[in-house]
Amino acid sequence: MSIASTITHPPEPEIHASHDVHEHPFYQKHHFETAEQQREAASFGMWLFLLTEIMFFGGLFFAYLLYRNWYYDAFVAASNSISMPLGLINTVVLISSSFTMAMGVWSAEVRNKKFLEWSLIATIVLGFVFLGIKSVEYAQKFEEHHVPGASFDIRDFVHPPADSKEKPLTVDMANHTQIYFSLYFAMTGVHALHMIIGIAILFVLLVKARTGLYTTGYVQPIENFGLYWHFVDIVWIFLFPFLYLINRH
Amino acid sequence: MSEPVTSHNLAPVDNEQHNIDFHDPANITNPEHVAHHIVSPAVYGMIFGVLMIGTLATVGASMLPLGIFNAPIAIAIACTKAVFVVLFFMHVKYSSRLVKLTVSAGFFTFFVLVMMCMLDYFTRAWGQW
Repeated sequence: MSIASTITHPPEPEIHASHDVHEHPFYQKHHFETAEQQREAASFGMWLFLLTEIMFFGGLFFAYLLYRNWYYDAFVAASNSISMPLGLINTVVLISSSFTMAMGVWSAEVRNKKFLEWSLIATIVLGFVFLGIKSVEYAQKFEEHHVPGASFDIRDFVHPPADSKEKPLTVDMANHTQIYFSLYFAMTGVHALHMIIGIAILFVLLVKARTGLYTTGYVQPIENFGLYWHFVDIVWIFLFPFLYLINRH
Repeated sequence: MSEPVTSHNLAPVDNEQHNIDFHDPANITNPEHVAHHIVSPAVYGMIFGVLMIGTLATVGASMLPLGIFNAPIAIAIACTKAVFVVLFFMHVKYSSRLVKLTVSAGFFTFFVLVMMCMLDYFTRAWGQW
């Protein structure tokens, strides 16, 4: 075939075997062979992101482990100054929100729109409850002058109140409680930031879920957000015993 | 000579003319074709129960005077809870080998990094802590 005739009579475009030939769901992008492959790629990508999150929190956890070993007495005294019951309630609240999110993934899988909406709403509400309790705890620390910095007061640790079972710390060791509180605010603060971002995404998912988008077989966004939310839950599962329960007897 | 290839009569095939739309749940060499598993609410409920028991156990254990064993027990309970979350809430138990390997490699790398840093810090001031 001459060049001229190729121009005037172009050959039929070559059609890739698996491309735009067969029916596929609306959410499948054209560079994936099957919806399953797309789903697998999405999960894989989400997990890679979560691994970077492990490293992100990991640095803080490492700093915590090291200073806890170096200044153990300061860490025990400071840990006992935060409210264990509030931490326990928050743990229950967060695990419950993980459960409601898991139920949200399930209802998207079985295409139950109403149940998906209510699962997302329950997750949002529990997320706000967690943040509310957290802010009460933060407020207590500010009132007690337990926030590291210029207004930090070591009095509670050098001269424990008569009704407390804590042994008094030396001034030097009492000053090291600031390291505990720095890590406390950094770790719970970054965790809370993840929850705030998560709640914002939950609102977007809820609005879209109400259109029925995620009950058509298009489960990926719900499932990937579930992975994120459960990851935030796992971080708290470690934060709770590390920060609240160092030595409670 | 077979009939001309158009966009209407062509079944999706790979290079060896195997129909790639055919779904084989037993296919483990192509993990992206692994059957998708829906985790039931009953399983989620059981895991929720396990996590609640673990939470109470970790509070209970912290009240006991166990000396140096308090920390390892707290870490062990937290790790057990995390494993349940990863396997069931995050579906890794039902995921492809690719995802399983990715997750375990990530946690393993994190473990190695923490251990190497710890060894460095603890051996530099050996006996002085």
